[in-house]
Amino acid sequence: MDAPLPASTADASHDEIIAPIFTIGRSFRLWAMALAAVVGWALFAWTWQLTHGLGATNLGRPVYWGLYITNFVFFVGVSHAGTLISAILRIVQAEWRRPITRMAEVITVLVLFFGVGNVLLDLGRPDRALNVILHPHLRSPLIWDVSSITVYLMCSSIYLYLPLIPDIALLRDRTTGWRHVFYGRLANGWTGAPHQWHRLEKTISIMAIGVIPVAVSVHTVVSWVFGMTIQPMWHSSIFGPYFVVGAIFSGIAAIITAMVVVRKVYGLERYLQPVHFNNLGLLLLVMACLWLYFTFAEYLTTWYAQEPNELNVFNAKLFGPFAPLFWAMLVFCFIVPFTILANNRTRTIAGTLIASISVNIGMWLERFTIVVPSLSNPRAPVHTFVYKPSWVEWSLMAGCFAAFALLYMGFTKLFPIISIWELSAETSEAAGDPAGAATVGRLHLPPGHGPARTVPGLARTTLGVVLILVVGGSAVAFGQTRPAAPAVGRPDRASAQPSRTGRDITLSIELPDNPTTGALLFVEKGCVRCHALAGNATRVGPDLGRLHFRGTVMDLAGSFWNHAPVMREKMLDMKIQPPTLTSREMADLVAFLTAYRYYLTEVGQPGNPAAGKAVFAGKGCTRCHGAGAWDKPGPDLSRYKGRFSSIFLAQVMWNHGAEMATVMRGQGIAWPKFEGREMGDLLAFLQAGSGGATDERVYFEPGSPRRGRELFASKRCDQCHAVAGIGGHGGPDLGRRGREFVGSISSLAGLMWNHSQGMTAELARRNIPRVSFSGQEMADILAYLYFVNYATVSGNPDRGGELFIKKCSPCHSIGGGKRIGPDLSTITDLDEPIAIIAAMWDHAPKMDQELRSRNLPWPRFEPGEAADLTAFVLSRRSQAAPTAAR
Amino acid sequence: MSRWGLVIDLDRCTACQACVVACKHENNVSFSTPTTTKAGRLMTWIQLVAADAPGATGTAMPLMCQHCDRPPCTDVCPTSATYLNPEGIVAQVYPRCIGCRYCTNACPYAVKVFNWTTPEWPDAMTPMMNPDVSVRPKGVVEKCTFCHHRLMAARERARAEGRDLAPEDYVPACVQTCPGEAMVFGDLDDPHSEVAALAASARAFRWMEELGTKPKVIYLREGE
Amino acid sequence: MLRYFGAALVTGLVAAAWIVVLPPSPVRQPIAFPHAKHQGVACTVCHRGAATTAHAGIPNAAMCAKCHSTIPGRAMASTAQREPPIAWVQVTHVPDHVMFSHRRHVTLAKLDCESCHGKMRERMAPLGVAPVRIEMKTCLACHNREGASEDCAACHR
Repeated sequence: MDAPLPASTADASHDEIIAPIFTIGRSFRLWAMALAAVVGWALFAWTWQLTHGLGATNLGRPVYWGLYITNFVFFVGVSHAGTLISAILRIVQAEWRRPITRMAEVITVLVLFFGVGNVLLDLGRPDRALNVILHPHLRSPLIWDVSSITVYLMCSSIYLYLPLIPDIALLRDRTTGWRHVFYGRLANGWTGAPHQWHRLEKTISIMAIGVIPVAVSVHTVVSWVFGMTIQPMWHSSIFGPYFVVGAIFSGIAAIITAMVVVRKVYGLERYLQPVHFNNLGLLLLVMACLWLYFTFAEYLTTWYAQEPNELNVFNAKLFGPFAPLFWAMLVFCFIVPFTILANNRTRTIAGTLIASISVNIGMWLERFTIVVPSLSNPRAPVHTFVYKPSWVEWSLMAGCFAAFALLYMGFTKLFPIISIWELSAETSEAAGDPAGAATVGRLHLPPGHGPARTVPGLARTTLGVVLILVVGGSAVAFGQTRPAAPAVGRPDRASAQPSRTGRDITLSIELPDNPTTGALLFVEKGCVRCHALAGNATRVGPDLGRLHFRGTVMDLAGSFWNHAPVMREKMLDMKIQPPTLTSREMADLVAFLTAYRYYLTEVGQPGNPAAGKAVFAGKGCTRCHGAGAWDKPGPDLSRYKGRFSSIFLAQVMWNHGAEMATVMRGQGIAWPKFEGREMGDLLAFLQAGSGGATDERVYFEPGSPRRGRELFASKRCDQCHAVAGIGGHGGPDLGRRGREFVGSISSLAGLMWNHSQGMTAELARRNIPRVSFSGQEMADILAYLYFVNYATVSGNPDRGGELFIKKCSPCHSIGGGKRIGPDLSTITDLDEPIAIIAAMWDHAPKMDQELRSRNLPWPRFEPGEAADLTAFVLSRRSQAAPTAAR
Repeated sequence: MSRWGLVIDLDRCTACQACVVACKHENNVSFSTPTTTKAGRLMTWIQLVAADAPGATGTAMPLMCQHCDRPPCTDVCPTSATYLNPEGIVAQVYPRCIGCRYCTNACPYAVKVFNWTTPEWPDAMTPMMNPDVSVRPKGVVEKCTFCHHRLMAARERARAEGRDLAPEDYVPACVQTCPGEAMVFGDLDDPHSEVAALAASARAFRWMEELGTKPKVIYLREGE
Repeated sequence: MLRYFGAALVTGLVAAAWIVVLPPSPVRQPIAFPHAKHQGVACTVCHRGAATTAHAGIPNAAMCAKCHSTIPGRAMASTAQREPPIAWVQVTHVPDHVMFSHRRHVTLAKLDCESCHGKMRERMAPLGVAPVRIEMKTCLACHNREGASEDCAACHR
């Protein structure tokens, strides 16, 4: 039955294989048109689906997957054809594979496109398919699918192309015109030189080995799409190998079918001989048995365990709505093929054709009965239904098959469907001419044809593909890194940082002489009607004595300003006319409120005598001072009781400090340090006295800060202490420490006490005599220290300018004419900070009215802003109108 | 971090379906007809199903996304369009979803629904749609989100008012509407919350928890 | 052969880039409103919703009239009398599937409006195109830096 292969393989044998490429017969045309029509219809169905959504299918909850996914699994399964035949048989050196390899490889490459294509058809949003590459979730089996199938497609394409090269070169040499050019480009410079052959065969061998695990992985991960869920009869560990076996099974069947058709249509009986069908038929038989084994194992274990949910699905498949499909599957997958193929006499070409078609139908049914019944029988008691695909789904399925066939046919018109050189190599070897194999297997070309290059751009081709993938992949990956974000404006943070633009200017505010004159004003102007000063009752407004204000005087003004609308409302309610203040009056009032803290901390928070007693003992004061201590070095302090005030304490301790220090050093007593309220408690203790109480207390009024500043210089404190940068070095800058000085006088005294050792040493080193203070002098110095930041507020005109634009410029300009409010350069007497504050106070009610009528919010000051704004206004005024009347 | 959970007392549930209506209204869920329902295309995020709960057969159980702590659906999503957010809500991101419906198949509770077509509303109804919830296009999956948008709004409001989030600030629409007060919602990790107390009750059970999904919808069985 | 392949690839990439990067064509606004001249007024005065609601809003003529009706020499009489709402064309959009709350960003996070809307204070002409391209990666970059929520469900609801 086997016709001998032609002895001479040089010319004649090629013609039969090559001939179909050059002729297009009538039946080809008819078939092509029919298939194209089906494809056209499928395209129409697809646009229908794209417009109407997947509602065009008959899918629904819980059957979310149907025909498309079945086809996906089926087509990917069929793609194992190429691998098995080409790779496995090549590795085991089964010679009979040679006429079959290319047919099989083409099936693989083409069918994979339809496998992937069916997934795209199934997506609700195919326009977002790239999300799978841009935002992959690596844990999802679908992503494993994407990677695996991509790699498989690449490898199969290369594996198809490589053995195709010599045949393409052959065609190149045999053709002219566009064909020649086309084949010439594809042949990539193949000359048939020995080193090219060597490289080619080595690469093919490597690929043959490499592609097998890839193929195994492909259908394994496809199975894991189902296997990794917890759904009944999906979650089965057998799925991996089961699907691979099924894939090889359907792959072989597909090849057989293709072989029969191609053999008949192109008259290739000489090459595709019964032996080939016989061998493939035997393989198919083996796979059928293997398939049955796996299926049996799967269903037996399900039935045996009787797990209710799985049993539901099992029953649905075997006895329920899917029974016809299930049993048909068994018939088509096993009974028919087995019967035909087990018997020598029926294992003919016709027989294997019937068997293979039966297997493909059966395997399609198997995919369907895996996908759909599990979905139709969910665990949850939701409404379910029997799924029957819609016309759109059937059309698309038909379109896929038709398109596949069409593409396959197209391939046969471009390239030899049987691998000519592999055949030649076989025959020359079979003819017992190993040397001949060496020459016949190579195409002998006339000299000068084509450049003598190495294995034709194979390296370059591979490199090019890899580079494109790497570059493309990197581009995608880098595209996902976040670019440097635009700078985000954070005005609240910005204002906390010192402005680097422009320098700060110091706003000079005159130090008051007598801070208490403002007390009269506080009453006269009526502030006392709403505001207490550490009083008992809560009044309309906050108790100004209890506001522990720690900012600068400009911040105090800012707070005034912020409260102005509220004050105005309350005043309107109480029918009080808002008081106006001259600049002088404002200065006094502000000074009074600043100084009031002085009274508050002494009067409002007296110390604890019992604690003070403990301090007195604990610090070791009793060793020198005590009751009736005529034998002690220090005076008995009880004789001063009644006269103790914090100022007195501070004064007296300072004046005697040096003496005390000497004595204490002599006696080995450590210099005590006071913290927090200790000094205040001590004072309270000393005031209470030991033995006998007196209600007589002496209060020192706060001294004059102005005089205190003079004393600060005349007593040479400024030799070591600077105030806001002006002054000497060696001791701390008291301007910077200003905030610490607005605690109580007692704590101030305690601070000075703590430092006095250091001060004494430094004074001795610099040879400055230690000064002493009278009571009033101490009072003045302490008052100055209280006011130390009063006169040294700095503001930044540039920041103030920004503030002015933001908050004031809708209504005010400076030198730009009247807007809603007056031009600030035309107002007289706005040349010092207190004057500005007074002016703003006076105008606040009117401004409030204007802003409210326009529904504009009241501009508020954050700490530091009032000083900046004042600095700006002052500097701008002096620029805008240097000759303005003062 | 909170871990939001829901307790449904089956004894109080009368299967009135007010929760279903409230959810549809709150979340711009599109309409279905008897025909589409029979074809398996019912669009609902919560529904009453007749289930065999322990202690009673044929009980009507409100079924919505169980917001599992170990969700089978999030593992399989190829684009991370559905994921478990840090507060325990299984979120669904519509612009990312490619509509592959793997998650709908992986969910053992069958509570995820798919937009087979572009949802449509009569013109007269469009003004009442909730602007805080997107209108889903065709081709994406959706499901109960425990009204996560309400959490966002409540948090923002609380922060603008300078206070902490109170339990009554964030309540899903179904819980808010239930006339029988059968549903209680809150932070399961808060030892003082009502939800945590009820979840520890003797009547509490979780559905299909043997699958290892760790659902955060807890049912209280009927009877003693 | 590689040459052709390369040429095709480059052409494809260029075309794709062109399509993706191509900016939208500018629109004309009905009124040539100069932000630069109004820089003293805080953004939230006219775009009232920004501090308190999700949507910032663009003002209508009544808002302009609040100030312009009283400024001598700056009365924009025709504007103030324009009864129907001004047909502003919104150029800065977030897509429908993004829930963006202005209040969260303006009042709670205290962002400067310029970070997303560009330096409006310096513009004399009204916007024809969005000055800052609003894309998810812009939002995420800032969220990442400032420690704001990067949970998808926070914005995609």
